[in-house]
Amino acid sequence: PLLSIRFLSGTTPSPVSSITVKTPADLQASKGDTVTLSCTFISSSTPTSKMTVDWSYRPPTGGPPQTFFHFSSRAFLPLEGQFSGRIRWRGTPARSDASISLVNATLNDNGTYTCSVRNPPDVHGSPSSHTLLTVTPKAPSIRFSDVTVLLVFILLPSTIITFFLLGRM
Amino acid sequence: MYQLWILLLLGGFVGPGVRRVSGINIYTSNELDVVNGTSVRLKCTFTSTHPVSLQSVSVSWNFRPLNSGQDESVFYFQEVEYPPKQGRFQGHVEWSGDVLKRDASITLKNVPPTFNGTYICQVRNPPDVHGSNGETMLRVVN
Repeated sequence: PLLSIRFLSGTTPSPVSSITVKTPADLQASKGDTVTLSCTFISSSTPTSKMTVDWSYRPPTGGPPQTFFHFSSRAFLPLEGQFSGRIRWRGTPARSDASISLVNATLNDNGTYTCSVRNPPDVHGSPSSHTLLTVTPKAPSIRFSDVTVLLVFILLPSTIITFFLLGRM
Repeated sequence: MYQLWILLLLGGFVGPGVRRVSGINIYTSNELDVVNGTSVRLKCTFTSTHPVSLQSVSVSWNFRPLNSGQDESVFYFQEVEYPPKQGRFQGHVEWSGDVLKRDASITLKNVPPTFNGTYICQVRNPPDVHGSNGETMLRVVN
């Protein structure tokens, strides 16, 4: 009989009661975009009602980060300041997701965004992660008005063809 | 007629003053020096416009080293104490706060030179959850 050798893969022992939070290192967006600030976490315990999520922002000029979003049982959206009315909770704690989205990105939104998740007893380890957001102006695009489109692509060719056919009669 | 103008003028002073800014205010020392190998209390106090209870408040202390940008968790408090079980702060941190007294302080014991850096005190008392965190620059001296 074949001996089934079962060996445990040599994984580094994960510390007990720790949480690891992950966000993308960089994000790019255009002015006016809705940006998804993604944040996922790995916690050895299933999320409970004691779980908290904090999103804070530090401008490129530096200074202490300001918390603008908090979640504990429910989302606490910013009611004043730079992000007032522009944040949506997009997270699902049960799926280890603590993401938010920022609508109508402005050039003032450039800076470092930090996601912090605590899920007691998983509160230590790597409970925070940063994302550097860069918002650039939208490249100007040449836009034709409806009338111009009609004139150039329909009326003009039809007129030319009509005269051509008349001329041939 | 003249009295009406006076009343309107005075009324203008009352209006703006009533606006209540919701949010936590966190107070910490800007800088602290500690002698290598001794203890230091990182003081952090807060005010909240909403009632404070053991169930509502959460306190998070993080450390930002001098050179790196990655924050490390130092201590967490939410109803009970959560001291660090791994990393450089294990065995070095004690809770010395009292949330009901609006105190979120911790004490660092037997401080080595690697503790040089910025300590961030973050307090949340839903719905008072927005605002700045308190930062203290710690310097370990000989």
